Amino acid sequence: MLYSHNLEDEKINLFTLFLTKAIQGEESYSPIVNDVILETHKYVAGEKNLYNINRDSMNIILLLAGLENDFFKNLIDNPENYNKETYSKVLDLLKQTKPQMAY
Amino acid sequence: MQPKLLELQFSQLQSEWSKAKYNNYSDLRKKEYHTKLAIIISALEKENFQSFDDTEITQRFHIISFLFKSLEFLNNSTTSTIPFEIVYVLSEALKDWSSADEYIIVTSLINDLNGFSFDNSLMFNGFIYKDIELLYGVNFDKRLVQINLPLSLSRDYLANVVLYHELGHFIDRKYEITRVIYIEILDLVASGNLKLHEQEEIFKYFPYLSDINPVNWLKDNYYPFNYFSNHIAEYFCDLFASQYIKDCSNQYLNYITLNQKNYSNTHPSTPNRIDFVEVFLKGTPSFLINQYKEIIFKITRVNVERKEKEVDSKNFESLIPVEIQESKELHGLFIYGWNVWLDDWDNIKSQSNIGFDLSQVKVYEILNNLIEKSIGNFIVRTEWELAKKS
Amino acid sequence: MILSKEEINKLIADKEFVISPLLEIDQIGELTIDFRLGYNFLVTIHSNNPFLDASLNNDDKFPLKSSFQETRRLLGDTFLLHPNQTVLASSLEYIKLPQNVYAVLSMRSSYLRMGISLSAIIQPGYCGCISIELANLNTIPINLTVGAAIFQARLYYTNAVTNYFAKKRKYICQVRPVASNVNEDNDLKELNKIWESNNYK
Repeated sequence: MLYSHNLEDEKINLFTLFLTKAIQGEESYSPIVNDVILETHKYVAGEKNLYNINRDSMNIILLLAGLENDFFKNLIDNPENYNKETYSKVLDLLKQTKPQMAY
Repeated sequence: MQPKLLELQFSQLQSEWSKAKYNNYSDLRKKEYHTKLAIIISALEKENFQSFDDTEITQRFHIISFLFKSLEFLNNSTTSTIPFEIVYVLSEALKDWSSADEYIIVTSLINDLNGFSFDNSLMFNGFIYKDIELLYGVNFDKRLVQINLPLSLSRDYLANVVLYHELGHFIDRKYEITRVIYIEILDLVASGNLKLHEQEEIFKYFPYLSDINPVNWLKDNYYPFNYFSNHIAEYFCDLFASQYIKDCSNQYLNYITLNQKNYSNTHPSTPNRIDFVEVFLKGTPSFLINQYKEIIFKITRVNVERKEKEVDSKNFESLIPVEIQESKELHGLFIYGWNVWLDDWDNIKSQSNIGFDLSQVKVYEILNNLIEKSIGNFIVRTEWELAKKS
Repeated sequence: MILSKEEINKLIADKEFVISPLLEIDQIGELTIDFRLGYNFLVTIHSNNPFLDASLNNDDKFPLKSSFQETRRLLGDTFLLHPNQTVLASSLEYIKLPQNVYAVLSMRSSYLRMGISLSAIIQPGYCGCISIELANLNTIPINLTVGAAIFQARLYYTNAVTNYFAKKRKYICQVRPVASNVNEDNDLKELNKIWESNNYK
């Protein structure tokens, strides 16, 4: 077939898009990306685990946690402190992923 | 993507929408969903794609794809031959695992003899719904899910037991159960702390894990459709289905796989799949099944256990429907139907004083008709009683 | 002899007469049982067939089944019956008649007055939903409600007990209306042979 659509690809594409929007200053997108970043922080910090992290963004969370564990561990537990720098860092991490990781 | 390509995509949608705009739905929830699509399409028509940057174009691309898929599902639901009996039974099973209010179930009858599936495309991407809400102020409180079944088998209730397995895939995706089992089993194998019998059991169902190289590779290379992930999911779905229909799907499995002795990239071997279900149903002690059960419970808070009630009846042999008393018996109906099919058909002849030989196609028709009517009667009585009370 | 309400209720209680679902006990009147419109329909469609062929003389060029299309409704939905339209429907209720009782069907008076006609006999021992042919003799469409009690049956005893399944039956345990299987009639096979010999085939 010409192309195979993958739901997980679409989620990552959209999440990347939201990060870009947040970096561009569109504040309405910040809560959405903050939720995922905070959830990733809680996962690597041991406050959440495989059984109770958000199911919809689970694969993104595990992907990010695997890419740079320390960055997410050291994040503050308060999304109000996340800013364009935070979003840019996460976006850079996603851009570095190997093709097969971007499922 | 160039704006012109986005305009092409939108033109395709507008063409489809011109036919679907005046669709009529008896279900109010579908009407409301349709109205929401209309609002978004109307908003898109006012936008100038040429003025968008790449990010905005990508956003619209995903949204238009969402609209297309939604239309596809809704269009399928306007056909006048909906197999609502099977939808009802599956909805009852779904209620054990999830709130029914979240979904609108539609069906599509397709020209593929093996085409049993749940199309989850619109279910599990919360981002698209958030984006639509941000851009257009439209909130979808219910999501569409489509059940695909073969047109030629839409009234075959013996074959439709496969849909319980497919419902398992839906639940798996909703809760990401396979993903967790994947990580936990690989950690167990790599830890070296398994007792011998536990290890042997894992290697029996996942033979390739006996070699450390695949284990390490699998840990580093998770992919939703790698063979290990696929196999975990298939065992889960067989286990899931057996809660409702015991070993009926094993019967159908034998029929469609011809007892495939080797595993493939997508499925474990048929003997292993059958064995996995039998171990569960018999309550035979099993480390792996316990792992599955614990993980599933920790994620979903639902126990893996028999969820059907067997129908103790000889009604089919007497050529009359079963009077279903509670919804658990709906699932038991399929088990009863399969038992009659696998039994000696002379029982039907003698019970009903039939003076001629019953051909297999006649027994097939009788069983499917009576299963359908038994379910239909339960639905009708339930709806009637509810209407009288309100 | 027509069965009374008491006799009908006794047959039901003794499980000699099955009627399922019986949504209201009031459906059983003094001399009749009301039956409800079911949710499955077969409507005639304009296919490539120039007519409905009730013969075997055309080498099966015009199969009957291709002139009918199935459509379903839910309980409480409506179905529009157009003027001069004949539609195959079935009862909501599944019945199994005793071997010594037959049923004579007719429209309930409320529906007869609107111009819908029905007339049929159900044989002793029949089991299945009752297939009915609804014909709108009025000049205006009639909007029927699925689940409404639209026709009725009077039950009569026969002189002897018969066995419905003594000979092979085309329709067993039907739960949806089924297009005519007239082409399976043995008589048509004999008549076709006569026609072929007359036409030197």
